[in-house]
Amino acid sequence: MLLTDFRKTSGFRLALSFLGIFGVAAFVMVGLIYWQTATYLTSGSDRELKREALGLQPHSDQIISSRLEEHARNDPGDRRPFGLFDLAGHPLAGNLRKLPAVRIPRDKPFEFVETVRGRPVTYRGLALRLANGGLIVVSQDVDDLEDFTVALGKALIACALVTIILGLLGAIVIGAGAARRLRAITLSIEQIVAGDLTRRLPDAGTSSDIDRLVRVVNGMLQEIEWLLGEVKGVCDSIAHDMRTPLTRLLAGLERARRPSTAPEDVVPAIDRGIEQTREILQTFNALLRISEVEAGARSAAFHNVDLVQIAQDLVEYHEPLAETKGIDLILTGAEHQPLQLFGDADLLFEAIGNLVDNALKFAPAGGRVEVKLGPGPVIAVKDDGPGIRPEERELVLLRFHRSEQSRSQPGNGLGLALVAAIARIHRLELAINGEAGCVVTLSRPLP
Amino acid sequence: MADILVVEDDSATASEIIAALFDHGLSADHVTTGREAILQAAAGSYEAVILDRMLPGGIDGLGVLTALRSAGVDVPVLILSALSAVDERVRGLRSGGDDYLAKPFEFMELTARLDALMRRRSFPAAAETVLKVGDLQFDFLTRTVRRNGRLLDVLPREYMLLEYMARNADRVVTRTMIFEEVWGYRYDERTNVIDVHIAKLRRKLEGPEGLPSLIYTVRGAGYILRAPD
Repeated sequence: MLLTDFRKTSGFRLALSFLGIFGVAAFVMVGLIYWQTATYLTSGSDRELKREALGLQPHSDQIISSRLEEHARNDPGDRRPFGLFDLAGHPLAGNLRKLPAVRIPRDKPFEFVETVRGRPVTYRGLALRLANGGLIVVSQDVDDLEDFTVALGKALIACALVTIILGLLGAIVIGAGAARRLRAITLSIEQIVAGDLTRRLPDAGTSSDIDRLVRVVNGMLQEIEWLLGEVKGVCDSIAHDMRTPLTRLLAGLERARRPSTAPEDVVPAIDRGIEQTREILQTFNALLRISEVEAGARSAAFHNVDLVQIAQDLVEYHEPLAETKGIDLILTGAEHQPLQLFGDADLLFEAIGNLVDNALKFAPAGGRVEVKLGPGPVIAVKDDGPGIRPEERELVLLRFHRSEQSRSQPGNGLGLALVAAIARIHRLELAINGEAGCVVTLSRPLP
Repeated sequence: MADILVVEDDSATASEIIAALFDHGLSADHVTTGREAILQAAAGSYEAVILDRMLPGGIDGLGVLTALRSAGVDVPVLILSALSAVDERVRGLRSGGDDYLAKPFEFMELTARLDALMRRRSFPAAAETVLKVGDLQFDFLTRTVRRNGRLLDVLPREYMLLEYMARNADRVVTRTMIFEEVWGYRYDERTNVIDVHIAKLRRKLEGPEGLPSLIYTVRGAGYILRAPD
């Protein structure tokens, strides 16, 4: 499967196309070098021939003949056959014994082949017409040149072959590597789809495109795993925590209709039923609100709000309650006026109000609850009650969690989950700590 | 001519609303579609309209509202809706609605808000500078309240609370309504912090003479400020 896979990978195809481009470029380059070199060598020889021919042309036949005899003596191997011919083409002098059998162009170099000692030899020659009608032909053995061009041609082909082979091998290696990566990723995805949400895509740790994509997808998978966990948690919690009020509701209504119930007890029983229904509705509404908030539906209504104003309203709102419990409720940091935040005033009032409510529930009589503001913005609600145990701090933010101490208090456990959701859409971080008592802080995390 | 027009396509809900209105001393007409609602509201002179947001047949609640308002019919309208998202509420009010109640609602909340709507129409707030309820006397200009001539020592917020209840005297105001009007925030406030404010206010109203506080608790609904007869 691997061998057929790699051909489809974009890595392989890219490598192939680059091979094509550079192959063609290399070909063209070497071809140019070959052509230029050959032309240079040939034209050098041609220039030489022209010089010789022009040197001989103006003289009389006798002088030309004696020059040619001298030339022949210096050229025993007949590498450079020169010849003088009369009007009819008969040879008069020189070591070029006869006119070349090819068509001889006027004033341009031409090539011809003669058999010398059984072997064909190529010559390059130039013919000039004399004043008396005769012809002077100078020529040069160009076998060396030929050998050179053949050798160059062979080098060119070898070069091309090597390029193609190396390029192909490289493309295969790249393609196979990519195919292997994709197979690993596909395997992981199949496992995730089959239901194993804890799996993540393999990250090779580089900064390549695929790895960056893998990291983004892994982040997404993390979010999905968390969300599905939430949904499951909510369903479990609803089943568990709603049973009690629903049972009480049912029991109350049944009691109301029993014949043994006195008429004057019927209305109170129904009233209690209404109260239970209200509680259940409240829980559902709160759940809906958390979902709505988490879905970001409320952020459309955001505008600039003043946290100092909200905090002041809040503290003033809860003041009488704190008074009846003998708790000192104070606001500090109000001098950082104004403390702006882009958000929803109602949600923020609800979130911080929730924290203050909790603080008032758990602070002892004679104790103190402080709402502290700071730039950032930072909003902290501190109380000196028993606090939340470190192990529980993550859990309390989940819906329907009630810590051991608070199970006896009224409420449905959704408060902190709602505060966490509201914090999140305002891009605030919720932190719970406190060595003595409980400090819940909402703050903007540093970028 | 009935007092209220109820526009609601679900017959079970409609009969419950009409029964609750009847108990409250209001008669009601009932229509089930947007078209009928427009025709009837424009033709009649109702004290208020209870309008469901979701209606069948092409024209929904907001459509009815827009049509009525552009025809110049300015009867008070209370919108009922299963859509509770805040931008839905804003849309409803922008289309010309006077108040918006999300389903499921409590009928006491419905009748209390309806009363407030109708009262707002008949007593525009701007005109008055004084208000008298029993032996309570409000001076809106100085933002003070006196009982039997004696100045009551109330905090600004307590004054706002008392003024709100006085303007709605003899009508039930729910805790939600009080919270929204007096503190200006809007959410599903359920803890009974308001009760503590009311208790404190009552004590101030009773004063050293131990007069009746005039604020009565309405079980399962809210409070009512009522001068003794």
